Amino acid sequence: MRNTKNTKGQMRIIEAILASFIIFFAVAFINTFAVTPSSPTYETSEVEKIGHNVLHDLDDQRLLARFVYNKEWENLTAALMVCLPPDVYFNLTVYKFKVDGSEGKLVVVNDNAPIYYGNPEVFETSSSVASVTYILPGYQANYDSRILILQLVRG
Amino acid sequence: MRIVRQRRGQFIIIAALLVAIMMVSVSTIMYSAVTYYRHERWEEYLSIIDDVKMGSQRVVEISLANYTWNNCTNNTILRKNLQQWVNDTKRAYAGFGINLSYSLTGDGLSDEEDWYKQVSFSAADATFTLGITSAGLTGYQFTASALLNVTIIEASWNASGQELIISLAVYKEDSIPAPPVTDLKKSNFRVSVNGTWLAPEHFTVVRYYDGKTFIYDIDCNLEDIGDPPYPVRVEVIDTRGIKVVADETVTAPT
Repeated sequence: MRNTKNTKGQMRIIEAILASFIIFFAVAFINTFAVTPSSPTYETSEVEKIGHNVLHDLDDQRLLARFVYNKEWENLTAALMVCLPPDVYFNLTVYKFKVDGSEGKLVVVNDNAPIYYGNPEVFETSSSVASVTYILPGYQANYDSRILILQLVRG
Repeated sequence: MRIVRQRRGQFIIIAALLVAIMMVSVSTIMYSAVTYYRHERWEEYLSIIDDVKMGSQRVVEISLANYTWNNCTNNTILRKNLQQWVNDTKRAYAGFGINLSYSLTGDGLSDEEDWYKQVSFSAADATFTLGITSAGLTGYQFTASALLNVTIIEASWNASGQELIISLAVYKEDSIPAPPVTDLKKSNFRVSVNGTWLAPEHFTVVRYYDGKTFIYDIDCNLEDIGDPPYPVRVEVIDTRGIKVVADETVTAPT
């Protein structure tokens, strides 16, 4: 009778251990799917959102068009540095459409004055570079569109 | 009896298995629910819609500025710029399948007949329809309007002080009633008295709030202007470059 009771107790413990393992493996399996704020998928989307909001706000205050069309690249760089979080590196390229014969092509406007913050190598080495496209139609009374490509990466 | 005991013992493992299956199932559903929003890139689509709306508003303003700058002569400018804007958005967001179209009532612009009055205005208006093929969005309509209204409240001559004071209010679009424009400086105004444009050093501009709206007082120091009545003309060009010309006749104080 004592032997039987001892066997029952051991089995309970073994079953409990097995059950714990099953639940532990389930939790571990679930954890592989977790999208945490630090994961690359989440990060790119978040930085894109920040970048877009900054460009949108600058345009809403009528500063973006002024900086771009008056070629105030230093002011534009300073504005982006102020508006973006300090650990976000950026590289902004301003393009304009140029009609060449029957085809249109994009020409870099700020090729002599790169607008960037941080180490440029980060944009080549990082696996999660966010990119935001923004279009400006013109400034004051002149229609002359510009396309802004803002690349962002967390430093 | 032994068989029954064995079944009891298996129950814990079966229960744990069921709990594990439930956890995995619930987490799978939760994962798909949480990430669906991101996979579908709704925020990116919303950003594009925001950009296109703001850009469209700017195109209407730019066109109205150009139109009024040229004294309302080129009434095809809005249509021309909008067509360019439609083409540019397609090229800029080529990967999204942007389909923007516009419609205008007439040429979409006010005309010169709306100037040279006590209440004068410049206005432009366009309705847009946006579709984004990649998001399955079609027929999203929005309106872009630009307005600059100048209302001369009073133009009075002070014979003893030899000064002419023109009080006016400036309004823009966005809501009803139209909100006042409060960021104008002296360089945004030109004043003509009895057909002669005044040099900037011959007038000052003061802005104040009278309890209802913002008023601009233009104080003109004049010599040898003679007694009223005579016409005054005020030209206002706002920070967007939109111009309005308003007229009023100065009368002698009663």
